[in-house]
Amino acid sequence: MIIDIGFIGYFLLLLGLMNCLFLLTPKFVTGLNISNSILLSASRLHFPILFISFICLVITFIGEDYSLDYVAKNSNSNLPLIYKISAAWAGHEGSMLLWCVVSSFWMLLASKYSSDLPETLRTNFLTIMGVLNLGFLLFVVATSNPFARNLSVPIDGGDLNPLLQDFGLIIHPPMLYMGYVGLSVVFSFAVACCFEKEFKKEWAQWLRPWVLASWAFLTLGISLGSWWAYYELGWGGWWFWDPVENASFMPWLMATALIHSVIASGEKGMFKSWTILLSIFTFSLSLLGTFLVRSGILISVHSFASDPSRGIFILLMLLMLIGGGLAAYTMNSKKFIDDNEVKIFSKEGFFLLNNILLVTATFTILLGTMYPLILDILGLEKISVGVPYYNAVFIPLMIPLILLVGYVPILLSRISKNKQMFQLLIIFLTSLVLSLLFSINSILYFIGFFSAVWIIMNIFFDLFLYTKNLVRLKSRMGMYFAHFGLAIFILGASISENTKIEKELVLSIGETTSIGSFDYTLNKLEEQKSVNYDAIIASVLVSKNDSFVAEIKPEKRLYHSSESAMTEAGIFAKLDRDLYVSLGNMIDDNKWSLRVYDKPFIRFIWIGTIFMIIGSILSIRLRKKFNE
Amino acid sequence: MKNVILLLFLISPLNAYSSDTDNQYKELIEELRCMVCQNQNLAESEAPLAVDMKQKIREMLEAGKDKNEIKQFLSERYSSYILYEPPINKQNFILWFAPFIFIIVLSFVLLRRYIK
Repeated sequence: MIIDIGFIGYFLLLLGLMNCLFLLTPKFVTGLNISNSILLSASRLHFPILFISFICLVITFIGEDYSLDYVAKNSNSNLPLIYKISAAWAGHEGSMLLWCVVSSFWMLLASKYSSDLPETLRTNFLTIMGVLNLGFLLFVVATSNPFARNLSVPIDGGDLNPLLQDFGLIIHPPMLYMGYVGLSVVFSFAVACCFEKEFKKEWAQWLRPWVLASWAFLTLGISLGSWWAYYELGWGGWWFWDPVENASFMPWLMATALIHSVIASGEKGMFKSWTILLSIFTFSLSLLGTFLVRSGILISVHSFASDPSRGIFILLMLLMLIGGGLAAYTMNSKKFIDDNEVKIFSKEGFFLLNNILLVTATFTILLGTMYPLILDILGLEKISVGVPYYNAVFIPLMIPLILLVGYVPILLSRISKNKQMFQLLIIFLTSLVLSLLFSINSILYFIGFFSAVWIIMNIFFDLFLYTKNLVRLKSRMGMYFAHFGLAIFILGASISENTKIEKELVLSIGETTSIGSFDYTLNKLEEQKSVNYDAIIASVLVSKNDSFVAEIKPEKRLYHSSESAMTEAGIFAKLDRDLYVSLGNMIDDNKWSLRVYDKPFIRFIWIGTIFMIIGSILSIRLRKKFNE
Repeated sequence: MKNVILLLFLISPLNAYSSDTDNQYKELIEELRCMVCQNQNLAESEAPLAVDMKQKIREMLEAGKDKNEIKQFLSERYSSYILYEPPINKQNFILWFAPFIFIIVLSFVLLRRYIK
């Protein structure tokens, strides 16, 4: 007997839908005295149901079940096994199912770790999570069912987009979704607090690790995406302010603001109402990002209009959630009364400035992303908003923020004002001298370099000279790491952007050219056949002062199924410098165009994000122990 | 940390390899949109139209035209959609100035509510 895995997967999907409805019954059907156990078990059962459904989808991909439309469109018999598996979440339908799985996973965790919360708060919180899960699942079943059947079964599938046949892109979406959807925990909790008309210090402390965890996943997801764009797209860029990138960056910035405000709420009972509002908006921006990416509206307003069902579903859900969240907030916002007043010259005062700058930065990105869309919908002249706009508007907002990152730890150390001033002067002068020595070619470069050194010096002064209290040191370790990561990131971005060398050139075989301090020789070209593509591999020899440095092998691939040519850059990577070669077009028999990039310290961009992630993990772990 | 500082000392100053025209060319092709691509600037694009346009831009630079003249010329020909830096005009007023208004309003609201 043949078992129809696709059918089982679909059945489980529907079972998940039933389970979600079951989860909601205690709230809406009164008189059930076992309501709490229904809520708890349903919220925990949801993940296994959806996870197995997702596994079924993966199995249909491995088994090449082209009777499923989604499998037929996104996979191909010649694909290597690993990409057959990852193709399960590479297309729209599968990735939305993954979204639901991730969402159910967060609900499982929320259900498991919420036993300390008061009963009504917990019930409301989990019910709201249930509503969200129901909404996502309805979206999948109604508009994006990955288990939908084909009318005629093709012999061979379409293909997975060759750009996506890459390790970075296998793990990028799940990580990003963990971040996006993790924020739904934060949203649900905030709305549940609105119903309680209170946001106690303990609740803020309970919420904090969830914000940090979501933030860490978002950081990882965005960083992986940027790394992938860098080595896969062949033009050596790592951020383009593309709307798809902005969609993930907006919730990241908001979550960064939230990390700070929730500390103030947890430690001193301040900014209660603001933290709640920020939580609601942060998740709303995750959803808005999903709407932009998933509705096709970014590609063109017309492609959205041709199949609007998905877009309209997400848009309605977005409006209902933001509307519902904001309604719950505005009805109760007056009742959140802070335990303490804020002084401007204090940690919390600076957190407020941090929040103002980060939220404004998010607003500018939202504006830059939405403005061309709105003009287009209104039928006005189309415009492009790109790097020059964001450099002009976003960077000026970040500069004071970064200076604060460096300054606040000193402010918080309990030493005399004179000593503080003296220390500040030393750090300021050293940063100034260092940056003048190394970065004289542009003002932006100088500012970036200065602020990175400024943050690092401040951290080390704080760490070595003034923190003798081990408990305090432990509780701040996460912050040090995250801020240090930010500094490393800024250093990498400013050095690589301002001293990079980029050349487009034509070389014949055997010809040598000198770029920067290196000599590049086009040594030879080879053809190579792989399972699902043919490749031309160039060998470029790099030397410096006549001594061999590296052999770089950029590729040009022609994928069989889609007949599209792909560039695989060759990168010689060292901690302090990337030499990056990508192969262009053949000019004639033995002449090729090449792009050669020399990018000092570009690795620091991603190394910085790793430090940020370590920082948030430490912050979750150590602060927890500190509280105990 | 020591290593990081050591590394900082190793950065060589920017090589004076490029002429003025070269720099202008690079800046220009990074700020202009490839009209036939998804969302790519001319520098990244290898589409035939983009290659032609890059050639044209180089010729205009060599003929002594400056950046603004070239931008002007291209945006008249292809509409201002080609510019990644939207012109400051009536239509784009909100885009350029709303951030300033936003930060003032937000600061006012938050500082008034929380700072005594």
